[in-house]
Amino acid sequence: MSAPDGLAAAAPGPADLGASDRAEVPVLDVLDLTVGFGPAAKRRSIPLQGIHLQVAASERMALVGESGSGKSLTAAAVLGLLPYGAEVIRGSIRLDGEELIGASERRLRELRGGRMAIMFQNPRASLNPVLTVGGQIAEVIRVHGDAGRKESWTQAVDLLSEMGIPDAGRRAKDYVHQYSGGMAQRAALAMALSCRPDLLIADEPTTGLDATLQQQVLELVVEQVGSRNASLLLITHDIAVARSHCERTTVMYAGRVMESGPTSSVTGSPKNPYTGALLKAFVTVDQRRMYAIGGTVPTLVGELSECAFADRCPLAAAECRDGVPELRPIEDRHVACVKA
Amino acid sequence: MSTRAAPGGGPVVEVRELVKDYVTRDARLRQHIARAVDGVSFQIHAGETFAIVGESGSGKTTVGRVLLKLTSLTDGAVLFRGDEIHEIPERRFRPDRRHMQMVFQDPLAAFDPQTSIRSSLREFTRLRDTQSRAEENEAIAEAVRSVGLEPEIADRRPSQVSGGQLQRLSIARSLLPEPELLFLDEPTSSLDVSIRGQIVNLLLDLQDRNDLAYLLVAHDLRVVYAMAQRVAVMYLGQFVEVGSRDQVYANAVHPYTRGLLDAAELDEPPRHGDPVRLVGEISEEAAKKPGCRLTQRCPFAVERCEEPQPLRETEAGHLVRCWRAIEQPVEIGLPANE
Amino acid sequence: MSTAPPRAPAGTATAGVRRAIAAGPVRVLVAVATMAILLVALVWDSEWRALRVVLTVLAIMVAPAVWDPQRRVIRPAVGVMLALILLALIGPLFTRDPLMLSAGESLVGPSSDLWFGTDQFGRDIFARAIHGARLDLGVGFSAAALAVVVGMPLGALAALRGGLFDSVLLRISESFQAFPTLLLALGIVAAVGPSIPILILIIAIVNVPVYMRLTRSAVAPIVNADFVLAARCAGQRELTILLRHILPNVKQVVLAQFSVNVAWAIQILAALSFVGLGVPVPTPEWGAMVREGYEQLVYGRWWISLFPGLAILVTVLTLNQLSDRVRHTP
Repeated sequence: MSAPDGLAAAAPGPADLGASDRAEVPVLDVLDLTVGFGPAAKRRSIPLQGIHLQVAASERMALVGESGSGKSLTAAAVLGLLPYGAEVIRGSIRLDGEELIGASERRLRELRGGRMAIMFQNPRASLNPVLTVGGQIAEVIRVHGDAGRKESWTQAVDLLSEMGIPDAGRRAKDYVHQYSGGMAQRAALAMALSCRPDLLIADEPTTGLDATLQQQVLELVVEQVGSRNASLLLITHDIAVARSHCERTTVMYAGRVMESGPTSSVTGSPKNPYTGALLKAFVTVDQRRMYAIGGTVPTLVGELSECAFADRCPLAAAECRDGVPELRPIEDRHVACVKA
Repeated sequence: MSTRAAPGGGPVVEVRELVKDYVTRDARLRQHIARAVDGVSFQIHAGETFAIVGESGSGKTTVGRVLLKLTSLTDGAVLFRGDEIHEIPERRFRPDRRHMQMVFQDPLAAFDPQTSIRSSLREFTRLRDTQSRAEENEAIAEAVRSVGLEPEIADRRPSQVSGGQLQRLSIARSLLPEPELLFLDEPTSSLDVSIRGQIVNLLLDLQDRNDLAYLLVAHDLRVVYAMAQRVAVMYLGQFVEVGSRDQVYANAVHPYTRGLLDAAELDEPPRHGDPVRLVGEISEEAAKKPGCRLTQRCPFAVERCEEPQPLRETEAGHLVRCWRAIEQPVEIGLPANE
Repeated sequence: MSTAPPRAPAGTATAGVRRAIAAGPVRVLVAVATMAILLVALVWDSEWRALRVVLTVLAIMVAPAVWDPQRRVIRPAVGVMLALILLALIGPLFTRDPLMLSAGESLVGPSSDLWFGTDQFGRDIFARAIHGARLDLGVGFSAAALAVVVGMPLGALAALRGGLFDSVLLRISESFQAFPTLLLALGIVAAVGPSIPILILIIAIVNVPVYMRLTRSAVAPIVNADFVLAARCAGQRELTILLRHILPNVKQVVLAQFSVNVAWAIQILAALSFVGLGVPVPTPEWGAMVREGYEQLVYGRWWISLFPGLAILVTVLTLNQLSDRVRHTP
């Protein structure tokens, strides 16, 4: 975990990032997280470079980025589920103040599904197809609590009904393939919330769903997380989703945090040109024209020596190429851009 | 039909009362008929984009495939430049495929993984009157340049270029036979947000340059707004609202259209009427009903909605399949009719 | 006629030549010299001369495939297989007569003179094993090839057409597969009588359903792929689409099955010969040789059965290994 020579040790990082006005320890505190693929000697890429991310208690944070931005990898690192070949080079991840990097697999297992839970893009992938939906949820409740067989089943049915599944007592005995897409995502949410987590990580929970369904599911997630006083880390490629469902937003690009702060100011008056471009790409400006960002999304990024967005940025200037811009506080947020 | 009847005048393609059933058999060999498209009619003129929006399962992609004769129809007619193409045997129709081409949702799936991009493109030059290898290569190079790429990229394999570049190549390929009609099947939905605008603008430029007719099928309402002149909203095999782009976006009447617009959270244009929240999700069972298929999800559904609903004109060129929207607009949160 | 070098077929062979040239002038020289010597040696022998010359040239051409340029290692399975094929093709030129009886030399154990010893009739087991390789590999490869040629198009058609054609074909192949393969082969041989062409045909027939079903299941998901739809937009005919787009995308699966199938074919042939329904005596064939020797095992004369048995084992293992390699090559 010591920093290799190739990577200049980044500044300690803004300690108060994200939860500036809250006194208590943030639920999730990611500091200078850097992840590389392959052994140090022949490192193929560094998909996460100095990530800072803080989620306060009962706060909803959106992590926005395109494919390859590292948003899902950040979630995997938090859960201790990095893919084979990836390793944390430096940085720290704290859940309720407890360091997760270097924690034992056993402790991580306790925390996953205990204090933090995950909801995936494909709900059918997180539910076992050969067990009844209610049975699986009841099992999670039994493992993480002291409820008996009968009691856990009742709790599972209650939970499903809270998630808006009609006739939950009967539907709990069904298998996941008998559920429609929206119902399956509701069941996955029930499963994730069954152990009363402090932090729910939702990785593109509505990406495969149609717009009307996306709206229903997101509203349910926000409502349920709110009523449980849990925190939400919502990973999405759609900045419009962040805008309408989260209090704070962190924008990522090519494995770096570009901008982070209250959603209203990040999406209302973006300071990083990338955030601005992303917003414009979601809003039609003219009749027969759409806002377009030139170039392509970078993949397999090595160690950066300049701003990752410089090649595509409308504001790019010579100083953008003089090293990687640091994440610095500007007004109520943090921005990684020399022009901001 | 290879001679173009009255270029410029009349629609490039006209679809009349199209019906498409999918017949499947279960383990006991019993027939199950699913009606994917149920009585759809529209026309597309040269230089015009007609868009069909709707959720997955609405049957919109099936309409496009029938339009290109990639699948058969059950009832109705598809007239291309006045000829009913579904009556022409496939063998005779093959050379005429040059007039209608398709751009796929996922460009990686649209290219044969075993061959180079060039040989995929070469296949499409056969439909034009190219004589020699050199002529073919020149046509390919020109097509690749027209989508803003260097011709050398065609020597790579599909897996060796980015998604946005491959979608450009897919567009180049569909233009090689110099078609009059392009069916764009969700052309941007597999691409990153920052790339979508590039592809949309490219398609618009190409349309202006070549006077192409587009059938656009999409669920991204921002893309549809940028591209289409006329829009149809489809639900479970039927058009529920058809009109000009502004009629459908700014003046949406049908509860389903209003629900879609509400969920899309567009910044513009301003909509009239109260926002509509649709509950539940699309279910094929509802397609078997004689009346409105949205009743289980619609906040305004009443008993009379279970009767068959025709498409009725509310203003010139604006068709709606909802009796309440026409007869009782105020009750369902619309401004009163002028 | 054999002096004119046959035109290199496309694919692996020409790729092999290109790689050989890239490997450097010394190696090319050695390869050319070896080829010349082998050609001369082959011309001297009489049986199936032209075919064997062509096969030998082909085998030498693909020889550079033994080397994996990316991982910089030797591919052992490819090496052993090529060695076996070359042995079968030209080995018989350098051995004694496998049919020659010699009463004085019967049941002699392995020695530096007679590497594998002799059997009860005094025949050289080494010579018989080498000649057996020609027969076993020949029958194995041709039976598997015949099965592919028939099974693959049938399976692809079944997947493309569907409906009644598919159902009928499936039922037929199921009724074939309902019998144990060996039993089916035994039954047919018993009815028609053994001869080498008949054996090839029978082993091919029992393997056709395997390829049919394999191709059918590999083709089914591709039939509706977008790139097939795109080819239809290009105005391609059904047959062109099948040959250009569908079959190349399933070739790997079929190729992997092919080498396993050669191994099966050899096993079936050996098994048929073992029960006396294979090749007629005294033709050297590995299965038949095992049978001839097994009565001698109780007297401690192990070599008669062991060496042909080992030959079957090595061939089958190599082919399985080869199939595994093909399947896992991206």
